[in-house]
Amino acid sequence: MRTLDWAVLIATVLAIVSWGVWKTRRIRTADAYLRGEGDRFWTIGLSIMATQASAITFLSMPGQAYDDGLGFIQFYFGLPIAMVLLAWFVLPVYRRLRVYTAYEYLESRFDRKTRQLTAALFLVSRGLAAGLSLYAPALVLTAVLGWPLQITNLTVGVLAVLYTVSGGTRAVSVTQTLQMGIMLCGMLGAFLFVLHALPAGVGLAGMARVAGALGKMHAVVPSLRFDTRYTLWSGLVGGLFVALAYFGTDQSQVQRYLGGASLRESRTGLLFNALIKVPMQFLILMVGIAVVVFHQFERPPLLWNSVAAGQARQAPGVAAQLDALDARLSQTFAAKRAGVLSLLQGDESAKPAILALEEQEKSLRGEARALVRRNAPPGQASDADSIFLTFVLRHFPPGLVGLLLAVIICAALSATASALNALGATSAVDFWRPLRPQATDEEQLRAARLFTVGWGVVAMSFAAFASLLDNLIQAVNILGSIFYGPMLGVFLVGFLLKRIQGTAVFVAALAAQACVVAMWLASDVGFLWYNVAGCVLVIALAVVLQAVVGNARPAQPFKANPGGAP
Amino acid sequence: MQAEDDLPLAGLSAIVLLALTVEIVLLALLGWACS
Repeated sequence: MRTLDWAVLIATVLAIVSWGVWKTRRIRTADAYLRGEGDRFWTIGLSIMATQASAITFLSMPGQAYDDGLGFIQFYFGLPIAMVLLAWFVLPVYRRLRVYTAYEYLESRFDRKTRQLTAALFLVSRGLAAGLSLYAPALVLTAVLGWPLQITNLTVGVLAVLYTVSGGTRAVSVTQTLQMGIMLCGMLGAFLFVLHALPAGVGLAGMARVAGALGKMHAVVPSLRFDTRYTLWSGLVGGLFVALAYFGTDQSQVQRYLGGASLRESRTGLLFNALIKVPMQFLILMVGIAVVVFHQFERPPLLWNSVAAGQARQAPGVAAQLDALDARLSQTFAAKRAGVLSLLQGDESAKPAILALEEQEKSLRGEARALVRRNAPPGQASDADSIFLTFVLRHFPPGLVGLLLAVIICAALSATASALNALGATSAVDFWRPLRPQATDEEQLRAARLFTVGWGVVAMSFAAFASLLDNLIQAVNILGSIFYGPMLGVFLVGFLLKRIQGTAVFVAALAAQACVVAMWLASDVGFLWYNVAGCVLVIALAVVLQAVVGNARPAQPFKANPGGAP
Repeated sequence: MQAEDDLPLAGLSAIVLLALTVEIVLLALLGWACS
């Protein structure tokens, strides 16, 4: 990395952190800390997007497009529908009750045990995910740039804790607005640069033509097959379920839109996010498409994570096998390049050969990756996750490299900060405050800040030891899906089935959670289906249990939080 | 609904769903045109 890149990276990150601390220096009450100070809709929309876009999004998605094309975009098709439903039905309820956390609603609707069970599920899943949001990008930065893993973890973690503890929800929102701006500019800059770097005369139309011939442009797959992970229908239905659970019940998202200046601003923020999410994901995937087209003219490496490849080569016989695969890749590349040049000169008959050669290249790379996985020490960044950053370092000019690294660090900061903010708020509001109902505002503010620091320490500790727990990382990746189904089920019962009471839904949630964990341990069902199974189980069991136990006394009225926007 | 909310929610929701439909159709056309 050159001096200019370091200057751009450090200046960008420090400016954003300082801005967050300075802008929220007057936060003096627990209400302002937990709820924010009345954000406008664009802040809410950008903040929601920045919370969802972790660093690994920017590292993985171009790599995913490089390997498999645009199909992943279908996962986001359910999101705008979920935003509309939340704006109509869920947001007004949260705001009317003036809740700080989504789980407070559950006490107003059911009882305290249901509220705290759901909040505990959130704390477990989001607490581990916060550690992963530090660890995953640090692993790639270590592999590609040679940065020390623990120092990278610690630096990003401490910076996130610093401004989150200082300014709470408001600090997270104002920094995320800037971070999202940097992320969008960085990815647009990356796309334009790669487009410009293509050979003369290729341009946007040529890029699309070549990518189409490589089979990368199938963004919409109207297949009804359940074994195809991303299809139009799994995106619309499964994506809707996941988005409803994530945006409606995960406090790290709920806290973003509860901080709106009014119901109108919060609703517009949700709909603003709904409008720009799919185009933004399209832009990120197109960066990967541009990179794959670039590498039809310049030979790509067999493996992108050269550190893992180097370690695997030390094992007996592996170097020779990798060299043989590399030589075959050279032949495949040369034949494919000739086909692509013919295509660009108007020879449409070259398409089948190009597609076959692309499949051959993928198969060679798949073999090489499997060899590395078997022979390199565990805890390596995946080869696909290393594609984008390796490409940036090899081909981007000074300054733009720094900006792209700033994008990745900003994304790590924003995802970690919103998680810590929500974890601190949930611990303080849903667990500490019921034990200390007479606490003063100052004590509540101090507790929320201390819990945020505590969760920061948990996240950094998890990140520090994550490399020793390779299997656990795999588990954390699907942890959201294990907990989201029952969480969504509890909320849907609350909103839709008015006759069902606390004990029935509490027992149903526990049983459904046990079933989902059993499903995870003992079956091969795709993890996206855990969301649907957990949710449906809670609803079905709650209906049955309520019918068995009959109606008990009505729930105690819930006392809404004072202050804040109505 | 509360007095603060004079947002034309039905209209905005319709715009969001229409935009999603247009995006899906355009993406499908892009895939078809490039294949």
